[in-house]
Amino acid sequence: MYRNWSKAMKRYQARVAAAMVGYIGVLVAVDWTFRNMPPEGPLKYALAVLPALPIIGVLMAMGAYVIEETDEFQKAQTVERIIIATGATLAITTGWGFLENFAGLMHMQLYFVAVIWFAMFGLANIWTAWRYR
Amino acid sequence: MEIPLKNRLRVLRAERAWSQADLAARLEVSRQSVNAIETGKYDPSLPLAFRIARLFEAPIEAIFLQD
Repeated sequence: MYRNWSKAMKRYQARVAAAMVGYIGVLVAVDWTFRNMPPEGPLKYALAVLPALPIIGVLMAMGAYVIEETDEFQKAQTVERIIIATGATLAITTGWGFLENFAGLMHMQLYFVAVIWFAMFGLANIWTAWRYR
Repeated sequence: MEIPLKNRLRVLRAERAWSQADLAARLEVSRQSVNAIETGKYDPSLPLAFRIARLFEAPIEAIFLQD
């Protein structure tokens, strides 16, 4: 999609890669801890929330990319993708919520909302690449 | 919907025998940006429009035309 990656895009990719490596490490460590030596009290909450931090890091990397990208068209496209992904995610999760309520659909874990958002962001990439081809 | 701007970028580029990539390098933007502006899919910001005008040594309204 980007033949010549901008400096901001390279930084974004490096940050996302670092966050994903961190995510896997943290998730494995937290999972192991809860299986083998379940923490109690405040430590339980502090450890349980840790896997969310690298995911928040990815979202912050996206924000940083939008700020750092000097190519206004690429920036505008990214903002468009973020808006599309956010709208699509809200539509899906709102629909899912009512389906859960009235039709007995299985419960969706809230952390899955981010997974849906990233999937929608990926689809929005394809859409904008096609639209501005 | 606002009326899209037409522009003479393709002609100006052809006069100088520049590719989209050449123009992009001179403007310090991506080739995709040049393509999107040229095909009228994206209107450049005022600062970028001024940069384009300076590069082609023409007033903005000689490059970007309404209707």
